[in-house]
Amino acid sequence: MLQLQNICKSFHRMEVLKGISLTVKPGEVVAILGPSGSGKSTLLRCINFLERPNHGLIQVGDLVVQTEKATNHEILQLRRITAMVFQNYHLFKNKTALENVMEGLLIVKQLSRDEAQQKSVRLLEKVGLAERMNHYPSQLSGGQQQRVGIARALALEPKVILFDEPTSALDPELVGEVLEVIRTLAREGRTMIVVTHEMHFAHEVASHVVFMDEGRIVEEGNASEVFEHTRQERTKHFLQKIQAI
Amino acid sequence: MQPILDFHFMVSIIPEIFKVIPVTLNITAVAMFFALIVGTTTALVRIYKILVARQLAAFYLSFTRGTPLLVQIYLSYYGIPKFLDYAHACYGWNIDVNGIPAIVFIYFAFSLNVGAYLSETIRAAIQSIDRGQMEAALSIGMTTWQGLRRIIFPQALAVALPSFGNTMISLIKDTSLAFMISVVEMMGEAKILGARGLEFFEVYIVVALIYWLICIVVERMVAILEKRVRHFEGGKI
Repeated sequence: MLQLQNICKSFHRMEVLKGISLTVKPGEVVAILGPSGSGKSTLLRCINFLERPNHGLIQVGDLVVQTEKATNHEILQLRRITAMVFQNYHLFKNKTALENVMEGLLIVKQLSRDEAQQKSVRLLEKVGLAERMNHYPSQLSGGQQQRVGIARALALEPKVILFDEPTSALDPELVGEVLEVIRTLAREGRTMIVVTHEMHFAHEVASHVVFMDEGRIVEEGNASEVFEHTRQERTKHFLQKIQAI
Repeated sequence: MQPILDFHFMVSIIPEIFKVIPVTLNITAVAMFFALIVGTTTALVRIYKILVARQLAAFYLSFTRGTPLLVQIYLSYYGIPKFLDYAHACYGWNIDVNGIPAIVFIYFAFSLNVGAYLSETIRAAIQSIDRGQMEAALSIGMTTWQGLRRIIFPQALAVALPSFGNTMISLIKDTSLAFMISVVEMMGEAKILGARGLEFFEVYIVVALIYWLICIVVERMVAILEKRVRHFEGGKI
């Protein structure tokens, strides 16, 4: 479904990603863990081309993008088959919950207003926010905003959904409702990559766990391999620290 | 002893000045319209650091803000015909310079002048919008232009509107310079009426009051518009 080959990204002289290769199979949920500054978010942003990788290859479905010579058309195509859920939600502030979900359907998919609306209402029902659909983001709680963010990402039926620390800006009591939505999506067999600090969640939901540090993948495997039979010292150290909290 | 003001005369000229209010408003509206286009364009050129255009924009802003509006009006009035004559001679552009009404040069000078001031306002307003808004637009596959038009501009407008109101009020008052190249707007009409009866003081009082009134109305309108544009900011529920 998704394949990354040797993705490199530097900001000025800072090398943030030092050759990341990763394969994600259809229906897989990949959790990316790692200390802050390890390049997890940058990696997700590269897949969505919010950051342009300096080097490497991104393949999503049939679309193959050689990042150093990606054309605007390819970038647009890539963004249309991947979707991003942001840490700070980034809902369109000038649009209601419903309009946020409809926007991509109207502008990118060019559906009729009726079709876009029907589909968006269904998606908002799915994330449990149908009765709030005419509220503006400023009138929604963080958890509600993030669920709208997920509905907006789902609207375009992306091949891969990218979650960039979807719960780390939320009040603790709002984390559950967002994780519940992501869990539902996992059960439906959607392909997702989740950057997260929620270890229990990663353990429970992820079919594949990746541990990153200093721009490299240090260790990867299924959840029990990484969490219970940790091979690398660096990963052990990180997991111990996290669990100590 | 004569009263200090000739009230009868003041009342009698009100209708005549009212007749030319449309000219003042017309200059304001046309200049504001083109200034918004010019201002937005230069703001985007500067934000996106577009090559060459960026240097041109910097030059334009510096020049326009560094020279008096009155000088710009004269440059427009005397310069554009010269340029058109030259273009006519060299490239055979068939434009009758004498057929161009003076108000066109006023439109030109005012649009560029106000555009320079709006440019900074617009740039600041666009840059005040969280980068995440554009990223979210791009992430769902919108183009940069779609993101600007549908997401960034509406939010930036809410930020910039009070400033637009101030600029517009300055513009309304500055239109009084248009008579310098014989466009008869309110101030021009006032001078003509004043000269007729040599009662300048009375005329200028009337004109001052009318300018004031117009500015109050515009202020109110901008305030109402601001509420509508900010509808999405709502309160917490």
